[in-house]
Amino acid sequence: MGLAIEMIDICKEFPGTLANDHVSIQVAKGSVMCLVGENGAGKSTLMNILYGLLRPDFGEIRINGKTVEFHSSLDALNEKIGMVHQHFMLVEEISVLENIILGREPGKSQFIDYEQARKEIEDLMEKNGMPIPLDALVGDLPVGMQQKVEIIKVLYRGADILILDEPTAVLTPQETDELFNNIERISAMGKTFVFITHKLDEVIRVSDFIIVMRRGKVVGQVKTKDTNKYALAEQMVGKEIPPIRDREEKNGEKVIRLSNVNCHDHKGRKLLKNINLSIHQGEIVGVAGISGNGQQALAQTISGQLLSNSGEITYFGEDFTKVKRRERLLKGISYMPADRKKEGLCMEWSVAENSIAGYHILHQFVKKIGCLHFINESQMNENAIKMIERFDIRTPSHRTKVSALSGGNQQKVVIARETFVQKPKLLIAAEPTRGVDIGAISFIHNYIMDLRNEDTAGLLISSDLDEIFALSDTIVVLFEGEIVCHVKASEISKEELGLYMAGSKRQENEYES
Amino acid sequence: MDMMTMVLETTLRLLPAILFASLGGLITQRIKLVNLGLEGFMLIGAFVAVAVSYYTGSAMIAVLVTVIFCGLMGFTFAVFHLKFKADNIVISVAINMFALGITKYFMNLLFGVRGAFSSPEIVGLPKLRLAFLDEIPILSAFSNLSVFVYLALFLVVVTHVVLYRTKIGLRIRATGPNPMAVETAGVGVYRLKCWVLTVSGMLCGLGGAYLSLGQLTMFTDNMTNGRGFVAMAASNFGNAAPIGTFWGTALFSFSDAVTMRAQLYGFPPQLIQMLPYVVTVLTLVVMAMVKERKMKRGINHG
Amino acid sequence: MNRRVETAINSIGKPLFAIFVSLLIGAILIIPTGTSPIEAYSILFKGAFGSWQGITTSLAYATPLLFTGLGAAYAFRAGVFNIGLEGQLYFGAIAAALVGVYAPEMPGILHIILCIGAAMLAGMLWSILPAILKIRYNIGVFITYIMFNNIAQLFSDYLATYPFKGELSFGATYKVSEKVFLPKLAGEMIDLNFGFVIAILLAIFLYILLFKTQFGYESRAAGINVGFTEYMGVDAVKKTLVVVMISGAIAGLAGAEQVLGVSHRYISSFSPGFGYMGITVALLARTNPLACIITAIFFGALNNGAIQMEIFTNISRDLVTAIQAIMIIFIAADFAWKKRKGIKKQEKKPSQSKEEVA
Repeated sequence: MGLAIEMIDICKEFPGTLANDHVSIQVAKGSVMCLVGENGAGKSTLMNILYGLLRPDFGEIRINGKTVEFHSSLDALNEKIGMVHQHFMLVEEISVLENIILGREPGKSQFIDYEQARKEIEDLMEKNGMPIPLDALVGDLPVGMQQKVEIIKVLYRGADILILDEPTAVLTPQETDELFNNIERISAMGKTFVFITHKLDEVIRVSDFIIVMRRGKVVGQVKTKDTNKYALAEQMVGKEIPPIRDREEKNGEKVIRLSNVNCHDHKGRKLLKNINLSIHQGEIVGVAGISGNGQQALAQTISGQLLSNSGEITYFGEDFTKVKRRERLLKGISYMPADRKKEGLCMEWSVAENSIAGYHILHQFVKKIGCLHFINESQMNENAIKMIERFDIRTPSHRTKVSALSGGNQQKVVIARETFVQKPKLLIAAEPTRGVDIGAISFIHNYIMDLRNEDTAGLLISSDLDEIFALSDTIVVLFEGEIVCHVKASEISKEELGLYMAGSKRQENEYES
Repeated sequence: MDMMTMVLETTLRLLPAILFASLGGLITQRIKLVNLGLEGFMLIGAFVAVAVSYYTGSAMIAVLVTVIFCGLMGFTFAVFHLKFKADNIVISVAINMFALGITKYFMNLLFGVRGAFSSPEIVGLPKLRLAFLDEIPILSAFSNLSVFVYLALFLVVVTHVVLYRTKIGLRIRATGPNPMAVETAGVGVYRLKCWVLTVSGMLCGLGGAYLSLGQLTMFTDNMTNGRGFVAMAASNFGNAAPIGTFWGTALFSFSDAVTMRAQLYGFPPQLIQMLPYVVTVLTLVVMAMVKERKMKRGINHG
Repeated sequence: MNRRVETAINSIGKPLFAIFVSLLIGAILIIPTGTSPIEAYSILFKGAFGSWQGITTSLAYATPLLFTGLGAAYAFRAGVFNIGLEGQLYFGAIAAALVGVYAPEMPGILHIILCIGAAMLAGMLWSILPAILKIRYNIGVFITYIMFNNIAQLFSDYLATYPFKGELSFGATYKVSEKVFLPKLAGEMIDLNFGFVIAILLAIFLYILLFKTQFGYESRAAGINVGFTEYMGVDAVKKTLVVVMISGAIAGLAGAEQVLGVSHRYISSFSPGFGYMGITVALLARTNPLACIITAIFFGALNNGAIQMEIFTNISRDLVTAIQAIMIIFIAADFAWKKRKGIKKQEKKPSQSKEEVA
């Protein structure tokens, strides 16, 4: 059989990162190809290019041997490419039927021929063995069912090539099984699947052919029958990043202790369940897990942005359960949030203004005149200039807006603010190197290690397992808001960790700390 | 006529102006866009209608020109908001201000008057005389109404059918909650939104034309006097569904009608004129409370 | 080019462009009157700035606009679109008038402070309600603010027409006590009064508050990025409420100035839309309180000149309202020049390593 998809030498750059670096892939007709790699490896970018949502800076796409150029997803649809996005492109407020026909409504005039639509879709559902109640509102359906709606929607548009972006991220094991059966059946009818995931078990189960991406590049292409998940895991995470400073033996005092902490959002959904965790001086606890399993809630509960609904938090033996962010920050709990654009920085502000955020209430930055608390600008600027020098932040001046800096330099502004003005006793670092260039990565890693060696306690949240292993003394795995594994870093392998992250394994005995 | 019939008749006379505009507000609300410019569109519509009717002597031409003119204004709104990324509230405020100034300016320029312009040469909208209803209680309210009352009611049905039975209606309904879903389904959301805003302008034009050629046969400064905002509130009241919006409009027109009657009995006019606005705010609060209670119950049950 | 100069030109250039375009459209609108636009504009300009009397009258017109402009600008900076200024101004005015007329005997300075305090309090209370409805019930502030504008005006008019009606034949209160008159600055015949000085001082104060203090630092953050604000340990909702209250108080002050400095009593429907014009003033000043001084004077002069123009030509002063509206639209619009730059950057082939600065 011929090739359904060829992508040749694709490059795509976002400010600060090269998401796709000369990527070439080929997919045979009627096969199931898996694209694997960790978060941020460039898989989704590549697929968005294939689906016409992004335009490549460079490179060529051929569909069924014909060179194409996509300006929008409509062009991709016309070439019979359909995509099921990780976040479903469904309208929850309208019915299943209407979601499926949206944009391709049957009927000769402006009026929709609902009868014909129903008939066509029922045929399609029967042929592919995926029954869905057509008149239900999409918002009322369980997630697995919504995904079926997406697949039927793509098939209804006559797609021959189906891209599934992280389709199992939101599914239960049973729903996943069903999805795989469906994929098998549909691909047997001659449709081509591109399946994006970072769960290796699934890859082995469902695919014919595997392409591994890492940091924007293709690092491996193999037939599924010629490989196993251990080999894949090694390719996926790659070789170690530049060596990190030595780890000194530490046996410090307990800094923070969470006991039986529970947290839910304003709609009553559980974010954290019965968290028991302690961090000591000179200890880095790495939090592994697939994103969206409570990492942000954990970070915010410790930073004080989110107050726990039950349970107890103590900080150097003092009860901190009800203490708010501001006081925790002054008492030495620093936090580098995962999303620096939405939380860590104010992009419209200068480096200097950002350099004191949160610490702007410290006495050295305040000038009191009458009842007004002025910001001491000369102190602020001086502080910013020192930071720029100490952290080698590449910026024309401290007055430059942070939005003009590269990702790595922005992250340096955050880390500088969180550690330079006031030495932290506890540093929460969430995804500290996401979207950061290699040079800055090793700087940040070394710096975090230095802090640890100087007795700072650390909580490292990362989706990059290499990073977790490189820095952590202890590792916990979060799954659906629960700690399912709590071990010394030296006592576990990446592969085993993966099983915990996927929720297919669970530690029974409590970890003593 | 007895009291009830009179109030009903007044309600029906006041209804179309707000109803047309609230349909215009409804469709923009469907694409998640707060269009406070309804007020300005209406005011300009009212003026254009009077001017054209005065010069051509034809109410039909006047309405046609008004609808086209206001459609163009709606399109301009769309271009500035969608293409040049101007904030929709800022544009709305500007449009309302522009309408206020430009209508006064042209009233002075064309007719040499200030405050109000009326003339026997302004041809009003035709009325539908149903003489046989004269003697029937209550229904006699329908015996002598402008054809636009019926047109407005008809347009409620049309909007309902378009929204729920046609292709473009489906796309409009989908655009508000999830424009990305519509875009990835291969529909140009930008063009769709342009259309919606243009039609919204046209509907406001109809509302304005009714106000100055149907409800009255004259133009006065700021004659819309907040009706555009009330229309917006009515569409909020109806959750952007045509039938619900109709009931919202009916409620506001009714309270307006009651106020007008009450004024005759010597209540302070300011207090009475306040009533529709107070009703609007209270309705919004009550609706929000009901919605919240429903949601809470939903969580407890599911 | 020096970066500072560049940003300065950027932030001045766009308002100038908007002014130019709107005046041009205004000129086109003038043509059918038969008067030449150049002549009309020069009469307008002379009327506004041609004489001492013209200048002082322009400043008098600018005073309420400066107040409302500051109220709007301050709220914008903190991310709130306060279109309720008009209503807050009316309540401020009636409050100042009632205290000015009915308060018991007391020393003049105390009385003035009481009047102004009452006005600010009234404006503040009227601004906070819609914000609370928004936070509590998620009701869009725009509709409520506009409804509140109408309610405030009608209710104030009612108070002046019925329970607190003065000696005049129309809806107006009694004259306030002479002790609370704000002193006139340019003779009895011209409305310019001490309120103008207060407004200028307020602009300077707000500038300092916004850009130099801790409070301003936090409220500016709340206006741009809520996540960031919460992250640095500040309750963004509370901050926003405080800012709305300040904004409403300033609008109330605007009402007090009109009563204590100009008309000396509350007169029904006295505002020609000061609240809405304040939004224009703030937008044209790019929400910088100091720049508001300039833009308010500009609009004051425009309004004053328009009256002269109306007297000496056949052009109605309402043209100026329309011109201001066009100005807002052109300031709010983001024309393509910036974007094109962005696209070019994207089209460049990826370079090996990139230190993306500047």
